[in-house]
Amino acid sequence: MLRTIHIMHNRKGVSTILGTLIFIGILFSAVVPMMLTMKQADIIMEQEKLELQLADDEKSREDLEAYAYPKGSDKIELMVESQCEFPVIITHVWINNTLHNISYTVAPMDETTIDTFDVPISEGSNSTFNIKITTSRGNTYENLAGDIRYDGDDWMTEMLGIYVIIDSDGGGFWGFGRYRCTVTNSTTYNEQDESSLSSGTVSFFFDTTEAGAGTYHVEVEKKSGWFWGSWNTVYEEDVEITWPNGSPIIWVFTT
Amino acid sequence: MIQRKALSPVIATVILAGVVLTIGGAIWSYSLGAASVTADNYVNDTLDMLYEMQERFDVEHAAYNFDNDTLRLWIYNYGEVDIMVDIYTTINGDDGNSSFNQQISSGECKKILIFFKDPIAPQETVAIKIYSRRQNVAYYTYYAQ
Repeated sequence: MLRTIHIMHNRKGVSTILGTLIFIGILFSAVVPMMLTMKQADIIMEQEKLELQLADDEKSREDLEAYAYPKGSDKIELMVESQCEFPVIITHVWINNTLHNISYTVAPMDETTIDTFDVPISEGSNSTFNIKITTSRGNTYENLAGDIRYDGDDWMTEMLGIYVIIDSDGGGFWGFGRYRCTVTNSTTYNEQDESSLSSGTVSFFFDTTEAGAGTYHVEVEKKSGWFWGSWNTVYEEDVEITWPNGSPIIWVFTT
Repeated sequence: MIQRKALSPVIATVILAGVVLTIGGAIWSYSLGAASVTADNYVNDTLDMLYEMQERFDVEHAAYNFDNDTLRLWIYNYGEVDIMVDIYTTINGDDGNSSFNQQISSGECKKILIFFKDPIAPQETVAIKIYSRRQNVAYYTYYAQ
């Protein structure tokens, strides 16, 4: 009882208590909110950095093959082959200096016809068409077969060919082994190419520009050993280049 | 006398408390303002840096018209923020013509015309630099054809 009365009558600590309360007030009403706001800004920054890093990574991994071919006398059809594992949005198609704004989503690893575009053809005149596409991530892909030309009577392209893509699981005997790909037609064309049996994608390209359009026989063989072992056929089929009524480049996929 | 004796310590306490409250209140008020301004500045600086990082643009296509000596540039802003760019050209080491204050919205592919007083000859090379107002740069080389 005596102590309580003593405290009530002791006024020496009032200003100190008030000062402490003010200090705590400043701490919680000004400093702490400021630090929380700064921390929040830092978090947003870090999140955005990560998102931009992912977006840039996706941009570098984006992989499309575009090829264009005539569709009738004054139109060009555009096909796209996606080589990446995420969707790609095509935003622009360029035919020479003309920009076509589109929005077309290509599914992962899909081959699809985007659209048909009018091109100004005048009979008896030379017309060259440079075609390219741009994606929403800012990548630009040119027509794989190069410029398409109309000489007044016929359509021409810089290149005809067959792409053979093998999704290889590696294997072989201690890393030895090979793929052998042979492309022939009934008359003049007979080409063969070999590649080591590495895991991942193994590709061959056969330029058939001189041999021209037509039916080609594609055979892919695999050997698991080094100099021993025998060749086993893993793919054998006829493919047809129908240029100028179809794509100048034909894709063959196998495993 | 006994009652009056206790008066001055009470007044002193009240005065001291008043001084503490006044000065403390002033410091509190200043601290609130200063903390608020500091936080706002920090957030604004962070956002500026964020916008700078979010900028993505490139020259998607270029074509020169030999009839009217005009270079047409299509600049694609594929970033998340609108940009303002200045375009400078260099031909054979000499400064060419420029174009300033070009506003390009996010997702827009904008055509920009640059008129050349001295015509470009076929096969001549034009180096193009595009500076954004947030200090990002894109380069492009155009071969006149």
